[in-house]
Parts: sequence; structure tokens; C-alpha cells
Amino acid sequence: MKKALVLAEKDNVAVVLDDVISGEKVEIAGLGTQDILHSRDTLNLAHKIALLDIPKGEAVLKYGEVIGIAVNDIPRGSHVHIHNIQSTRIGGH
Amino acid sequence: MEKSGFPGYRRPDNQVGTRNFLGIIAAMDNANPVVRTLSRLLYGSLAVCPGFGRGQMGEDFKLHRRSVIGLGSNPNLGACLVISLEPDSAAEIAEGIRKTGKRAETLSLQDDGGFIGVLAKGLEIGQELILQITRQQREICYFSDLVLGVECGGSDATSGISANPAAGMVSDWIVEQGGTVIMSEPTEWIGAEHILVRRAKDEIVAAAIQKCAGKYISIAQEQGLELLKNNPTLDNIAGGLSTIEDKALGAIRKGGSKTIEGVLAYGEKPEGKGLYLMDAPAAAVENLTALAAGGANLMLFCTGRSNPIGFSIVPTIKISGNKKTIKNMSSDIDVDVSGIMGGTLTIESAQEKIIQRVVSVTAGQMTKNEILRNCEISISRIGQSI
Repeated sequence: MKKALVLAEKDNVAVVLDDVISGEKVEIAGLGTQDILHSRDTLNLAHKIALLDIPKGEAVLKYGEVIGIAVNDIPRGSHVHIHNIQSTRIGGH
Repeated sequence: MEKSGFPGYRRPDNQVGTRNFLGIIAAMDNANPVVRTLSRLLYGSLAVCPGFGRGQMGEDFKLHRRSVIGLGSNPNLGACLVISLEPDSAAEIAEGIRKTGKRAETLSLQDDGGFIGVLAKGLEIGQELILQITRQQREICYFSDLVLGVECGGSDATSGISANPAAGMVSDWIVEQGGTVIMSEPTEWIGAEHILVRRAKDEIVAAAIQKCAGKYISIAQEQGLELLKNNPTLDNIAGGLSTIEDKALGAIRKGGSKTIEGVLAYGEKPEGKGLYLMDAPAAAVENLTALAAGGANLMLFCTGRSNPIGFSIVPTIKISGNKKTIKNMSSDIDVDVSGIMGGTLTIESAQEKIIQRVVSVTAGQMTKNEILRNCEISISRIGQSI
């Protein structure tokens, strides 16, 4: 099974350790987590997958830190990237 | 890690070289062609052609001049031959370089017979200098003599979870040995400033960190720039980095976890040992140039999707944790840490792997980009030429 790595306890995204196809089961590993989710999207190695539903306007957390804000509602198992998260620092899109 | 040091070139100013070249330096870009021709002819020399150097003013000129002198002062150059259009700029630069105790000779196109005159005299002087510097032998030097420049380029989202943290552990190890580490690319501190500020030696350094990152935020805002697609770049984005914070939080890991002793200007040498930050932009060639001008005698260059470029004066070890890059760009990556994401390599083992390469490269093993001559030099501009 493909794996995704959680980097910190507070995180609501994990980093996939290999390319993942839409619909594939992904094992979430790291920090003693035991979770399996279905990927809703196709995503490449090292891209982010949502561990929880992230409502529009909520912080996206990776490394235990804020890396951006959800611009739409992001369901669990979704690809989290420039189409649905925006920087809190400069610009965005 | 039983070794306590490496064989290096001890210089008159007590800096240590991991290499021993004659630096043939173009004070300005109109001397680039004769410098390159000379360095092709003289085995054991390097052409140092940083670009520009004429018609610059104010802070832009000061940065350029400081950096040219800094490059000439790098301990990997045993001596220098500075060539310019006219004699004054060559003389000033050579004088700055001689403060290290090394020889710096000069030639000018105007006074020394034009292109062919400079070529002929350059061959004579260059040969004599290389005869002299190659007499020096390596002697026992210590990891406390290392000045490590850390760079990331062609990053992707593997960088922050493999190559960068492994390099960060090497950074920590070097500081623990009494050595120096310099990390730069302030745009890639944005989103992670609070982490760096927490580690500042004192409030002055903390303020300097904020000010430095803030400068790049102001520049972006004044120009109405969106950082997205400038930094992170299109290849960073394709590699999974979504925002500058996402990139920065991974990028700063290459500097390790030690106290930050100060914030250096572009090409400025640190006053003491330990971990320093430097105000040098993220573009790889300009950044490596700044680190070399600041005295780095070794570089660790972490990459995700790969930016193969290296640096001629200072050996640059390329590290990647992206298994696709390892497979597709094997001519360009020195240390493979893709096992971290593959679950077959711990970060501690990756640190050890990199340190083994540090030990062999400082002693003379070449890096892949060194062998291919895939190296470039460029000093950043911060102003308009007139």
C-alpha cells in the first residue's frame, strides 16, 4: 500500500511517499499514527493529502506550522496544493 | 565518525582550503574573454568571471567590489591574477585580496598590450604563480576549519523531509566540531522567521533576521509581485511546494538547529565560528557566489527535482532525497538520500552518508559537477548600471 507521512501531531496534511492514483488506499504513517484513507485525487510523490476535512478559511498545518489557508472546503483525502490553499504571507492567486 | 580532520591547505590567514587553484579574476566583464582564454591554457587555474563591474554605483558597486575581493580571498585560491580594462580597479581588488597574505598580481588591457599582450604576460605570470602555489602540500586540518555553505535549489516537497533535514544534521555536527555554517536565501525564511528568531543569539540578531526577511517582503509588495510562481517557482510547485511558508519551513532545516550568531551581508565573512545567516538571494548561482565570497570552503547543495549547477572555486556536494531525480539525473547527484522517504534510510544514517562524502571531498575527491565543469559564478545586482 502507498504510504503518506505525517510530520507533526498538529498537522492536517500528510506527504505522500510515492505517486498516488485517485481512489487508491493510502496508509498514513509517522508519529505512531494508524490510519488508512482513500485518495480522492491523483497526486505525485511528496505532494500533500488532507488527513481531515479542512473547511474554507481554516489553517493548513504541516511541520506543526501554518503553511496556508484553505480557499475552498477541502475534504479528507484530497490533494492539497495551489488550487485550494493560499499563502498567509504574500500574494496567492 | 572516527576521523577528526582532513588534509587541507593551511593559508597565511589561518583559513583552510579544500582546493588549491590560481584564481584568474576578471574585475569587470570586458575582461571576461581574456580571463577565460588564459584559464583554458593554464592548468591549475580557474576563471573567475562574476559579470558586470563597470558603471555600477553606490551600494550596488560596494556589493560587487566586496564580493570580487571576497572571491579572491577564498582559501581555495592559493594566489590570484586580477585582470581589468584599466589598472586602478585591478590594483584595488588585488590589494584587498593581499590582506589574506596571498599573492595577487595584476594586469590591465589598457596598460599591458591589449588582449594579446595580457595573454602573453598572463601566461608568464600565471605559470610562475601556479609553480609557487603547487609547492604547498596538504597538511592535517580540522573540521573546525570548515566553513560550510548550505544551499537548496530545484527544491520540491521531498527537500524539506529528506535532503534538508539530513544536511541540517551535518550543519549541527560541523558547529559542534567548532566549525562554521552559513545559510542564506532570506525569501525562503518567510513563514519560518519565528523559528529562526527563537534561535538568535541575542535581540540584535533576532531583529536583524526579521529585518532581512522583511526586506524581501517589502520588495515583493512594492513591485506588486505575487511570490507564488516566483518563489516558489514553477518547478518547486510541480514538485509539491504550495506556498512560500511550505517551502521555507522545509528550507530552513538545512541550517540545522544551532544558535544563530549573526546575519551577514552578501559576500561578507563571518567574524567567528558557528551558524550564520546571510542576505543572499535564492537563485543558486548568485547564492553560491555569495557564500564563496564569505569564505565557504565547502558547500552542501540540497535539491529535490535537481538544479545541477555547481561552483568552481568551492566543491559543491549535491544531495537529493527524490528517487526519480536520483534515477534520471545520476550525473548530477553526489549523495542519494531517497531511502529516507522509501523507509530504508534513517535521517541519522543519511547524516553519516553525507559526512563520509564531506570527509572525502575536503581531502580532494571531486564532486560530480566539478568533474563535468558544470560550474558558474555570478554576483547579484541590486542597482542600475549607468
